[in-house]
Amino acid sequence: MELLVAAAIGLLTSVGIYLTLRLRTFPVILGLTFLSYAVNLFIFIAGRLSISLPPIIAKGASYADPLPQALVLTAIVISFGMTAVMVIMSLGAFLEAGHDEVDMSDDEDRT
Amino acid sequence: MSHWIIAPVVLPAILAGLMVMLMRHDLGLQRIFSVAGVLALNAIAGALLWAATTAPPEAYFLGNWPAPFGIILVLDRLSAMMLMLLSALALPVVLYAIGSNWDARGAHFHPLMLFLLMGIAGAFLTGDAFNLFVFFEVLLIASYGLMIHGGGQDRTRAGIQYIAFNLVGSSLFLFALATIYGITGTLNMADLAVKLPSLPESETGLLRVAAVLLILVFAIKGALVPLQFWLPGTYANAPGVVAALFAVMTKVGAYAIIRFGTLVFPTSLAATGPMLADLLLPAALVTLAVGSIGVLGASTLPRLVAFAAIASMGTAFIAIAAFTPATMSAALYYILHSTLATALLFLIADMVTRRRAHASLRASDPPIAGSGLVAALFMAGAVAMAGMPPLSGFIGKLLVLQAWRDHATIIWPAILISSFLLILGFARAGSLLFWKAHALQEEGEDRPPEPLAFTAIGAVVAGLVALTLLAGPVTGWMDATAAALYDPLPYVDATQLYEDR
Amino acid sequence: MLGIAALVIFALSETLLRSPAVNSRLATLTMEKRAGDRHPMMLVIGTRFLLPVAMMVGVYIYLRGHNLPGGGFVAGLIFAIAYLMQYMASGYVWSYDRQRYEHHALIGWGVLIASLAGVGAWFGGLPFLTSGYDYVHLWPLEEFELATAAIFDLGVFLCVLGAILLSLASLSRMALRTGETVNLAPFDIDPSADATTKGVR
Repeated sequence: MELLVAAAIGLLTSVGIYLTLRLRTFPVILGLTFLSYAVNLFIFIAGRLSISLPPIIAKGASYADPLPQALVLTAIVISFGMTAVMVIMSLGAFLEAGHDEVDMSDDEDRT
Repeated sequence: MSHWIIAPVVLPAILAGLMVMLMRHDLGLQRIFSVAGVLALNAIAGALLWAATTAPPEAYFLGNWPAPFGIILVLDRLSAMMLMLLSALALPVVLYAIGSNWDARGAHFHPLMLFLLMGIAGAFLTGDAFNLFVFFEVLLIASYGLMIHGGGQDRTRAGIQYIAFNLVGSSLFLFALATIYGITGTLNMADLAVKLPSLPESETGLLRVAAVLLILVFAIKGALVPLQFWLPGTYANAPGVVAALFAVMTKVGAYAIIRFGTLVFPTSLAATGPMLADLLLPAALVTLAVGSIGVLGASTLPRLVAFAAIASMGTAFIAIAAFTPATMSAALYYILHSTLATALLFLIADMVTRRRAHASLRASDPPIAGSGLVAALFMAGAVAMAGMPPLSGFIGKLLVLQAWRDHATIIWPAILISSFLLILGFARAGSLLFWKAHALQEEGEDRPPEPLAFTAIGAVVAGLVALTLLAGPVTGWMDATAAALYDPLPYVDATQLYEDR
Repeated sequence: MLGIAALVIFALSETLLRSPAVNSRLATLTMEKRAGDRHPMMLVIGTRFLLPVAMMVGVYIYLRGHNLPGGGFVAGLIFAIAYLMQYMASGYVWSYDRQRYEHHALIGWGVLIASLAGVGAWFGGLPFLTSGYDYVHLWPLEEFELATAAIFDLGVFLCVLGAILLSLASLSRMALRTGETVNLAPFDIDPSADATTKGVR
């Protein structure tokens, strides 16, 4: 189980990093999304892996750590909003510039 | 418990909500409420500053949850000072935005600006590392909106890079936080400060990784080389008034590094030790070099100011990197000064750029309207930024030099030579903009005077002058603040960890 | 948070739509020819039935959110989906015309209610909402939390709903500029009249 989760996080992160380094905006957005998935998973297991345990303290029983779940929820909401903004920004940049490459050429930089 | 601690976060949120809801189509009302809100923020920040000066740190428990479980805000001298700086800077920026009509060029300028203020204020006040992340995101998302305010091809495309860079930074931040949480089981800063020294030996490696990740994130925010790439493009392409407000955003990174470097990862902590200082100092020196060389090579005035901002961050980080009370005091003074100076220069750059046909520093143009006054203001800004007497930049750099006098061989030449390069760069830009323009014998077009905009710039200059004149009391206050930073016990006590209340 | 994102999106699309370069480029991006049954009657009728059902589910999720999974955020998403089904079935313009409130106002209300719920706690020892829930509360101060948290959740709910609708509406306005055809009738085949106008707006 630990190996599976760790491998999944590693895979998601590497995919995310690879895509983030691409030239066009769409892969970059996908890459950032993958990164956020990876980090969500990572936060989630930061409270240790536990299976079918109650999320709150019960008398005498062990329990799953509730805080990472709250943190993940917050992180998901935030990455959702950020992705939405990024999508529309790249749409705007595409419409303004006529191409969807992330880098800025020198002449644009110099205006 | 004083409820005013949360006011700097709640007040902008309420005002922004009201604006979006009721006065979306009435820019005049928005302006009035925006100015009133910023004035109120100033008053609150002043009161908090007074409270923090006279009383020990105070915590505010959101939802009345006890400290390590709930979210807390902590007011101490450092956060009160940064808050005051933020609100003091926000006022001229708002006035300038109104005076120069920047806020009419796109939707939702004032609500977004208030949200930005809310995010920055929250980041300064929070005593919880995850909450710091949340406020970072609030200020970032508002800054995205402001950054592309007014639109335009270059601005939008620079915005994409800015967002992508910061989204990667946010992911790193979360990775770091999750690692820390996995090790310690807490993200409360005071709790971390208590727990980390007794960490088992086996976890130190992970902790160091997490610490480096955190510092990386803050270095992105603080535009430390090699993570400064987003800054020139962003600041140069953002509207000048927004860039002026962003001047305080880089200081959020500096603030976070100071906070974490003194409270959570102090040099006395066995696991990390002097690692932060060892990483920061070389990076800060390179930052200073890159910034000052960039000033020489910048092709437009906003880019020149952006590189000057990088150089000033380099100087600030050099002072921070020593992590001793004496240098910290110098760093705090320099942060105050450089925020005001950067903002001033961005406002002036905006004023110049809007009056010329193009922003390039390669060709001369006819003299701009009101060039005498603008030139004088530019001169003041350049003097302040380059660190020449009589303005506060001189005192700031002097303090930094004095703080580092034991290691004068590398740091003194770096700071002095970079100041010289800054002077050269500004002199070149100034002569091209204001002197050579007269050689063209053409009349520039007339523009309607913008008294409010000039008042705003004048207010920033007045702030710099005040900082210079009051250097004695201010540095005394900074010394006390730095000493308080290195005595985290009152801070930890304020959070009432594990106490039955 | 999401509300700010939506404001950013709206502000951006607003500026984009004002820019002449963008408009000319949008005009060149023509949609490929659509099928004749973009708004089939079955889908339209089905979503009309689903709208109240989805809203009920949303309210239910909102109410159970204090002790069980759910709450304002999820409820906001469900409400948004309920509305979005109308958009999908009958088109943006038709749905927008039948809307009595503005998305901006929703976000504003949301932020305001959430902040005021927090401010309300300033006056401490507030009488708690008469609670119909007879759960055993394990955490301290549960009753107090319940009251303000519900109001806060309402703010979150409004904010999420407004944010999602506003961002998608901003995108739709952009799509309209590409010359997408617009129908003002709920579905393609209007038995009573030929109300299917094309190319308006």
